[in-house]
Amino acid sequence: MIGVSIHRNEITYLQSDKRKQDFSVLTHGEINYKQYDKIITNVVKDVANLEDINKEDKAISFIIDSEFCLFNEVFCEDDNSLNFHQDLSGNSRMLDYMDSYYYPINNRDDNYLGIHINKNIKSGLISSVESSNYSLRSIGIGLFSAEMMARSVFGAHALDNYLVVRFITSNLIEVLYINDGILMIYGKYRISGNSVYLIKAIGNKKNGETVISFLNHLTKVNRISTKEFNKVFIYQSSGNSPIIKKILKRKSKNVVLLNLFNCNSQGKSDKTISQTFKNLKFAEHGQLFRGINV
Amino acid sequence: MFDIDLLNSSGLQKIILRQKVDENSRRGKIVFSNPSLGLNLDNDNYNHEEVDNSSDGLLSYVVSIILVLCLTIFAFLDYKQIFSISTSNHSVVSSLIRLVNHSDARNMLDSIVINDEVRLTFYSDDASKIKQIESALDEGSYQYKVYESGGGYILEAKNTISIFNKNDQEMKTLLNSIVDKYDKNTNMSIHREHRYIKFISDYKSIFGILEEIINFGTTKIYLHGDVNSNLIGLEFYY
Repeated sequence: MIGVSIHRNEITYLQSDKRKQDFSVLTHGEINYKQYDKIITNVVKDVANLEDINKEDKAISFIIDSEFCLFNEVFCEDDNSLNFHQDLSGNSRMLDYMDSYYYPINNRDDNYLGIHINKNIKSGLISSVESSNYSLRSIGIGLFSAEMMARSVFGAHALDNYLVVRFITSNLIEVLYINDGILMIYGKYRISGNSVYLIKAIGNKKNGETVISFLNHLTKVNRISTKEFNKVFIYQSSGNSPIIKKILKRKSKNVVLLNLFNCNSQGKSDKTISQTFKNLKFAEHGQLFRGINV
Repeated sequence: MFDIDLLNSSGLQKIILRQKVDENSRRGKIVFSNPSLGLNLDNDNYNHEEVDNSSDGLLSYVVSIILVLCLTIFAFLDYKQIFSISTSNHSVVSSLIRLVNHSDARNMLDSIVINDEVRLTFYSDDASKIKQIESALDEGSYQYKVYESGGGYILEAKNTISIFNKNDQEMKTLLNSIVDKYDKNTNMSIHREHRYIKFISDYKSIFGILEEIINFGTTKIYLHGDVNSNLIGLEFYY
């Protein structure tokens, strides 16, 4: 299976081979594009033409950046009340242009995280796969796919609670907080100076306060640790955040970088900080690792 | 925690139960064939420790010799027989046979789809019926999910499977040999189109066919006729 993660004007690819419980990463790399509009149309063809890709493998899985999606919070009981909610808010007109998915969030039965993707992006990805004679297996979203990496590869499935933190850039953060297997918070924050400001938080507001308090600790303190969360998994998809450098310098037992290439002590490749940052981008390929127990 | 896949139908994704990974199951490992490919090494101050390469030359020499010896040995062996690749297929097919022989589980069965994963879908008005499905499959490597749908529940069991590629000619040869083998069976119906074939027959014949094609494309299995029918359909495309 080939995983292709699209983020702004660059993509990362990772080809894997699953045999029973074991999982081989055959090759990986990245491609940069000068023109944004060419990515979706050309990406499958460009990856397929790479020398290191096994051409026999015709299965592809996309991970798109959460910045391609819109997020909102909905309270509804069932499909009928969702339709009522959409009619009331005028969102039903959006259905012509967007595909909307509502996932349970928080420990209330009626609280949903709405994720909306432009139909043109989705159909563009599907047609680029079909025109190259590949088979599309899944379309995931960056941060959520990284959460799968934490769960499948870094043992988060065995934890009572954990936080996944993505540095979209060095001053823009996106987080997921999972407690007892339930998504409690999706949040987006901005760092300015030494302070963290909330842009959007969906889910449990009380947990949201704990998250922002930890993020403030992350920016202000040199020795990062956490008592609130069993573990915090961190990665960066663009740029070199000084906070991640801080984590590298002063290792903490429960604040972990989602570096796939260091997951089972095969971290020989990480001789430099810049290489660590490059490797961290591959955290979003987590959906390829779905269901494995490492 | 749920897995997002935007290829699923849009709307409410009501996941109300997810079985955790079995801590007692055998742990897999991740093997990196080429961990530094496509990455540039930059030198900054992250690691000042000098790497001692003096023993690397000798080590790589010894590893190379062992590798050549192993390759030479493997060249003379029928590795398909030695590595029982079909073992996991066998356990999957056995679990499916147990499933269709279990009357309660069979009545709930909606579809079986096999590509690089085995996905079994059931429909029931009682979420706790997942236990019956678990006991019918009797195979620890399945993962289970329950979704609320309409007035009832969709119960899903998933497993992974190895997938191999054959070219068109090899696939035609494989399918020709299967058709030759089963064509004379009086209770076998076969319909074939370009890169697609459908068989309808009894359980024994269909699961025999499944064992031969399970790794090479997408297979859908469904119950043919009413719940009392002994016929089963298999669609395969590649």
